[in-house]
Amino acid sequence: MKKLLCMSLVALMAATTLAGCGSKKGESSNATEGEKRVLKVAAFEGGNGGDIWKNLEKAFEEENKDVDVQLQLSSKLDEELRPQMLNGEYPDVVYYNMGQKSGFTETMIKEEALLDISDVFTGDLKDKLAEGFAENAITQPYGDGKTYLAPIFYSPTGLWYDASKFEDGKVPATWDEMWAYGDKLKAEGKALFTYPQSGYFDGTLFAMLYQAGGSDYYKKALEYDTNTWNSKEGQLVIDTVAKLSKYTWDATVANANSDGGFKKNQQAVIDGDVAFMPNGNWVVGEMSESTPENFKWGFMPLPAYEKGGDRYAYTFFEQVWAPKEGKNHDDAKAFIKFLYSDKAVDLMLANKVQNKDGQMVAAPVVQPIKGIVNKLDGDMKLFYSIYETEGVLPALGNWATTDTIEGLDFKKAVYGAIDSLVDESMTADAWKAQLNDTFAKCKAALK
Amino acid sequence: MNKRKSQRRFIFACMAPAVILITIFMAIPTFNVFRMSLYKWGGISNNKTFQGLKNFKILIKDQNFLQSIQNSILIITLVTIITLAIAVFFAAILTQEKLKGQNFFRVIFYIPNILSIVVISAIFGAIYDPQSGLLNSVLGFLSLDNLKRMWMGDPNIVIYSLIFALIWQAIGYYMVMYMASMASIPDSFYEAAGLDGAGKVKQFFVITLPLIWDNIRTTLTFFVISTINLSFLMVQIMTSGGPNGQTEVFLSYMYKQAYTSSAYGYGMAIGVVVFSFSFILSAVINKITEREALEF
Repeated sequence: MKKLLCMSLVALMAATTLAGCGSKKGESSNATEGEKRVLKVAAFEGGNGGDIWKNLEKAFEEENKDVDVQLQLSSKLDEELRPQMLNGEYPDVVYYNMGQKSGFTETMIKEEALLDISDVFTGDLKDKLAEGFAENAITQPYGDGKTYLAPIFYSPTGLWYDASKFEDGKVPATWDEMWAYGDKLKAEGKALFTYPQSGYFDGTLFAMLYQAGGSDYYKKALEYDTNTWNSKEGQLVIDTVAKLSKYTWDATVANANSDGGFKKNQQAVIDGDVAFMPNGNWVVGEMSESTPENFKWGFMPLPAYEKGGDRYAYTFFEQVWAPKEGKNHDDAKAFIKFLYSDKAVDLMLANKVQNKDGQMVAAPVVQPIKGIVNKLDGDMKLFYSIYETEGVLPALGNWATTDTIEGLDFKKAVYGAIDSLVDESMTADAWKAQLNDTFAKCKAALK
Repeated sequence: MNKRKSQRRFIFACMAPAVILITIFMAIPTFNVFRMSLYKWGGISNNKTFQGLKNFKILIKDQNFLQSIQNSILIITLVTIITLAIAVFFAAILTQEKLKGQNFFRVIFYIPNILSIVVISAIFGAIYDPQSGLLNSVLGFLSLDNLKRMWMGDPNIVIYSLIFALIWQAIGYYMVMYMASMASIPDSFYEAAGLDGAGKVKQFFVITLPLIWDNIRTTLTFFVISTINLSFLMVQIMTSGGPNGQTEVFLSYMYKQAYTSSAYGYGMAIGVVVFSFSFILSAVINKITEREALEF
């Protein structure tokens, strides 16, 4: 009797080890629930907050009474979506950017797992979108004219500074004026330049390439043209960055690499220790807690190479896409189209996020449609009007998509080396060799 | 005969839960890692292409990987040797000297081990801060300005900053273990040795060390495994691989390849190498330190 009891208890114990092994096979993933069609939207909850997506969900459901939007908001969206997708559950629309550590969107692009949404950007919407946003290497990653990612929330990037330091408005407009100003600052024990993290150099590098060689050179460079760095334009860019690294604040690298340390570099500009840093307008909201009341941000494109030359500001935008394996393609496309409607645009401009004291502060996000500048005011109008200034042009685009290249860490090879230029553990020539080597590998693996 | 059989069945049933758990959560995933390293895969969808040993061929020539091996070996070696020496030393003092407040010190030394590695990284991030960090501020206060450094920025010393943080975290754990095994050594040995004229130091090397040798051998395996794991966590938070790969370790490189670079199969190949490396290293260490067990 005792033995029987013992054995059954042991068997029960053995069975409980399998308790956690259930899988969610029971869910019938129909795209309809009752009367309404289901649209699954997965959105990353980041600096712009999650409220905007809740508002968009409500607005879309109002206009489309036969659709039920199921919103999945998470600040760790990639970690949630990976196992879901491996299990066969795909959302219909995803808001998750390229350039994240998890490389989630890049992986989806490399695996050709995205839905072709070219037909969303035709007709009215095509005319409504600002120039260049519908056709560039980010939204059309395979270079075949088909759009796979939708551009949202754009932001011009450039050099940010403390406006009060330039009361007379005489900001350096050429690189020579920058170096002169940098020498003056060195004498005062301050630094000319810092950067939050070496990855923020992407916008700067793109703009420099564009400025050095014009639009043809730039487009070829994005496709890893072998001549990019060997030409005189490429050398100009390398020399400029190398010289800039000599004027960079020495605590930059130490702060840049630690988690959250990039904010210290940004704070240095607010505190007056450093003059310029490359960034986008999200920095205003990001640093709002530690910025004094009367601080005024100044924003300018990169200095020109010579007097009267073109100046470029790279435009950064975020992306929305639809997985091929999502069940509801039609409503996914309708939702993406909806993001550019007047209603959605107004909701985005009115967006608020909660700051650490629990108060709601304005954090408008801007859609790349023509004439949007007229709807902005105050500082936002100033930042977004950058392209209305004489001689300032927008740079758009990204490195062309390649197949997976094992053993290559692109960001580290191209931008991470700048850290080594700053702490002088690498020479400009060594960086050039590394760039050539990286470009050769990427060109061989172009999709 | 029947009794033996039923005894066997009973033993088998008792072991079943543990065996099942180990199979499902350790053996099968390890086998999967080995299997996935033979494919070229992005990690999300189901398009895999069989590559054979291609990933490994690329791995051998990968300079970044070689750098991460160097860094990992440096970290493991230094952390093991220094922590071992300091932990044994402190354990000996605390057991031998019968200091007042022995328990109090035990608690203080053990606290770093309880702290989550995220907290420790944050603490050291603040200490090493070049502008307002504790270290540079104290040096400035003592007028030792020329010793000030960019602890996390200077490529030559950033890895030693990490090693120091790892040592600080590990000392308590091993010290407590050694104290436990030292406490079981009878006092009579020390008294007899003292009568024979042996000083404290001699007693330590001749009596204490050989008698806790087995314990030290076990902890050497712990050192290897936990250093590999903790160095990954610390690198992720404090340096992300550091200025141009100076603090890249095995696992952080594997993460970057598997996720950020979408080369999941390649990341798994790195995983295979890490697994084999730690296995072989532990086996080698075990063999080298083998001695006749001393009974007392």
